[in-house]
Amino acid sequence: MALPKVAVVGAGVIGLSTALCITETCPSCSVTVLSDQFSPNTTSDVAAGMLIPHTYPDTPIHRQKQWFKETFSYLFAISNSAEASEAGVHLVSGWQVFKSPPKEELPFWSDIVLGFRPMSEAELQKFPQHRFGQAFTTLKCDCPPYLLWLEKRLKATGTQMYTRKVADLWELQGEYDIVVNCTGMGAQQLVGDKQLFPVRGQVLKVHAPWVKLFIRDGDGLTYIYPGVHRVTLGGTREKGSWSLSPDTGTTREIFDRCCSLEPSLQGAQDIEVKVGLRPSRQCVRVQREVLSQGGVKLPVVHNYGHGAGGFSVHRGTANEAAHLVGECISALQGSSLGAKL
Amino acid sequence: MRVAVIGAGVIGLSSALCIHEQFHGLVPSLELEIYADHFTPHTTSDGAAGLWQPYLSDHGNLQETLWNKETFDYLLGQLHSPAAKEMGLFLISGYNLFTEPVPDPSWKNIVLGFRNLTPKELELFPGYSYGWFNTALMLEGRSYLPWLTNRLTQKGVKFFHKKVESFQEVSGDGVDVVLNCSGMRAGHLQPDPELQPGRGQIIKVLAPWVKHFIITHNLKSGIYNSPYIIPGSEFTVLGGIYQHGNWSEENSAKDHKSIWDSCCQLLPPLQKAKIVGEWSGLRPARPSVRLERESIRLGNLQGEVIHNYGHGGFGITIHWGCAMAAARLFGSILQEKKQLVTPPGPRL
Repeated sequence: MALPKVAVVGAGVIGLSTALCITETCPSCSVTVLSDQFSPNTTSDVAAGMLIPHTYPDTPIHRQKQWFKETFSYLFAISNSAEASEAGVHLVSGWQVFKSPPKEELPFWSDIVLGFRPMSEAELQKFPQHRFGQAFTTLKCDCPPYLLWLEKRLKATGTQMYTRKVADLWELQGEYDIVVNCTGMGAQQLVGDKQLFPVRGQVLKVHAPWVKLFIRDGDGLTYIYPGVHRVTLGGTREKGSWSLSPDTGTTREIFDRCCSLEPSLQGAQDIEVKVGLRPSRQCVRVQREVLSQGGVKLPVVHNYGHGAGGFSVHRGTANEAAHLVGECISALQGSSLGAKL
Repeated sequence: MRVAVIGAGVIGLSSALCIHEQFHGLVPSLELEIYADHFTPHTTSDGAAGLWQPYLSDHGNLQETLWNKETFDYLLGQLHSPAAKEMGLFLISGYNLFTEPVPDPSWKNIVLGFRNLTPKELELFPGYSYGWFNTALMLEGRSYLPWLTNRLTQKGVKFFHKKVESFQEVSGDGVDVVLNCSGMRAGHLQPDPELQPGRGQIIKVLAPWVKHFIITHNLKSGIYNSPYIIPGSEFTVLGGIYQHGNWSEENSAKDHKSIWDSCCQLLPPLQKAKIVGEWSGLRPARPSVRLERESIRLGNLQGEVIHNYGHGGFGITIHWGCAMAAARLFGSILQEKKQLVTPPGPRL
């Protein structure tokens, strides 16, 4: 077949990184990104972008670990290169603290992050309400910079990007040979996935440049993540809530919880409130599918449902999705050969 | 009881505060005066990055190690107070890098979470095969000195902008004790061949993505003559110059290039950092800190001088321990002069 035409729907961290992986694994492909939102208006832009994995109940652990490992290696190399500042990728050290003993002493990712070890007694003294803790160094992808950097890399490969609301994947049949569905929360409507549900997160982005360490409560609800220019204070996990409007009571409450972990935040300035809907699922859907309608086939690769862990596994899932696109291309080439004979 | 403090760097201001806090209640007539020709932001303390970290070896000087520990513990205790931000005090983690294994430092149990670097971490720093990771504190002079100044002013301490040429100059008129915190220029007040400048130069850059301090060590070239990167609250300090005996406070183009090239090699992302300033200063270096009493003839009278200078490149690191030691020396002077009718302590 001629240049395979691939449409990637979605321009958050998953859509853009998947598109980039496709251009790397299939340089002869023509890749186009279609999305109704681009940075700074995607769910990814709200996220802190911390590489601390979320555990998906129904994805095998070895697969999650592989995704995280690939993502960590990829970003580690960027963080130490001249591109680091433009990409917004940087190392950050800190603490995860627990009021009661953590479910697992050693999370599956403890040997992938750097320097993972239990916190010392002296370190725990800073957190009188917490009795256990883990110290480690990990990576953070600041958004919008990271998404803008991905867009720049894509443009350099000749990838086109268009603002377009895709209401039905079949719209793209004829224009494109393969469709890659990276629509995050949008997949609920686009492909009717009832297993996908929003987990609302409200965060504050504040100016507090003296905060150099991250602090996270092991319950996942309270966290302080220092980024390049702003510190992200979180958060909430409201399952089933679709509201994108900031709640003032919640803002106050998040601020108070964070100040109790880090009192100096009382002096934080320029508080910006943001809301995102984590596109959550029991397992991330990275899967090939061939849609069929009236004798016409449309190969689709899904890559959505990353919930709270999008940044942590984005490159790993993008690699896997790109590999699946490669399989779709082989299948198409096989069948077109077959048709010729 | 009048006390004249010479010097308004971190040592002068903190010693004054410590003495005032401990004795103003016991000696109602206590009057403190601070004399200096340079005040914040023009002191040596203002130019320092502000990282709490002693030298690699204490050369058996246990006293200094104790003062360092007292300072760290004091600052750690202040971390959660509302004043922390105003003081310029915050936690910071980072790396010390070596080209060969070295013994653990005297301060390994003072800082938080001290450990050796893992092989994966060392991959970040080609050319270095060994290192430490720990969490320490930053105390930025630009904020700390004004904070100390405000506290002192509130307590009625007076400041005088004056270049002091002799102890006699400030000790006429009922001044009983002089606190000599004159840092690099102590030799002008009383010759001290052991006090020598350890010239440093730094480049200030905007690199807000750098969250860790990175200090390299070259055991042959000596302390601070190897690149270091220290991120502050407003800008990041790049350094790596220590020139013993060099009195120049002018920025050198050669040193600039050396700092820039070596720091960019250490941390490639710095190539994109914007330079926002440059500064040279003289570390008041001495084989050991001079912290002791001396009786001096001041005209017809005997006066007491408490020397507190020679803190080299670890002034901020050791300041509070020294301030407390200076306050103890002051206390013993008071006792001798019978200014303290009852020594501080529980009444039986």
